[in-house]
Amino acid sequence: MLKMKGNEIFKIAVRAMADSAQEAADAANFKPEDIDWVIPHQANLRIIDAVAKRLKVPMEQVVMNIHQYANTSAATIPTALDQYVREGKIKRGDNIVSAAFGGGLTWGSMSFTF
Amino acid sequence: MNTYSRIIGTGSYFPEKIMTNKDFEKFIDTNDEWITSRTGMKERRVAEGDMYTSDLAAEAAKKALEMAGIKATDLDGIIVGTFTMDTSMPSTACRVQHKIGAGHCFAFDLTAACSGFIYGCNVANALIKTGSAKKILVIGAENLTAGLDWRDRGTCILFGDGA
Repeated sequence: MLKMKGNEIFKIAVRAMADSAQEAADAANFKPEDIDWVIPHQANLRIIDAVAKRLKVPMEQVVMNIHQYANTSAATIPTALDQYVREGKIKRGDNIVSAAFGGGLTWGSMSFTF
Repeated sequence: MNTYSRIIGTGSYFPEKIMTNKDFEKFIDTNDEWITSRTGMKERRVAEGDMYTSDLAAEAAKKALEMAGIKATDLDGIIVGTFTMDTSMPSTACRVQHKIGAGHCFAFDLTAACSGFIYGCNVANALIKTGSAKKILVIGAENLTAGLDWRDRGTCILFGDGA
C-alpha cells in the first residue's frame, strides 16, 4: 500500500525541485527570460506554484495537467509534454526546464531545447 | 564532434475510466472543494481489469514512434521509469519490447518513483552521448490505483494511472 507524509514532504519537495531545476537551467545557460516552458512533476498545485516562483517563470508558462489526471508519478512529465506538443503549445526550438520529486526520496531535473 | 540527444517524438496514453473528486464523496470523508483547493486535482484516470502498466506504456510508445516516424525495430533500447511494474521479472520494459514488436535491444525498468522519467532521460542522454545507443524509447508509466488504500483519505485521492 502506498503511504506518504505529505505535509512533512512539502517543504523538502519545493526546495529540492527548485534547487535542481535552477541547477539544470544554469547548466544549459537558460536565464529566466530564455525559458519558454517549465514542466514540473504534477503532485500538488501549491508545490508547482512555489517552484515556478523560485524560477521566476510566470504560471502561464508552466505546463499543467494535474487537474485532469492527478499525480501519475513517473508519467506526469512525459504525458504533460506530449499533451502540450500535440496541442501546438510547445514548439520545436522551445527551451524547457523539467523537474521531478518523489518517494525515496528522489529528485532530478533536466533542461533541453525541444 | 560532440553528440547530442534530441527528442524526436512523444506519446501518451490514459485509460478511459474517469474518477472525479465527487466520486470519492461516496466512500470517504472528503469533497470536491477540499481536494481542488489543496491539490489542484479535479479528476484522474483508472486502469481497469487486465490493464497493466506495460499496456499503458505500449500504447504511449506506439504514438511516440509514430510521431518520430520510426519503427519499433529501429530502437536500440527501452527504459521504463515505473514503480508499479507488472512483475519484477520480466521487467515492464521487456513486456513493452514484446508488445510493440521491438527487435533485439536492451530493455530495463528504472525505479525512482515520481522522478523515474527524468532519471530515464538522463540515462538515455548519457548512453547516446557515449555512442552506446542512438535511439532510445524512454517511458514513464504507472498503474498506481491498483495499489492504493481506498480508505485513506490522505492518499487515495491523489493518484491516477497513465503513461
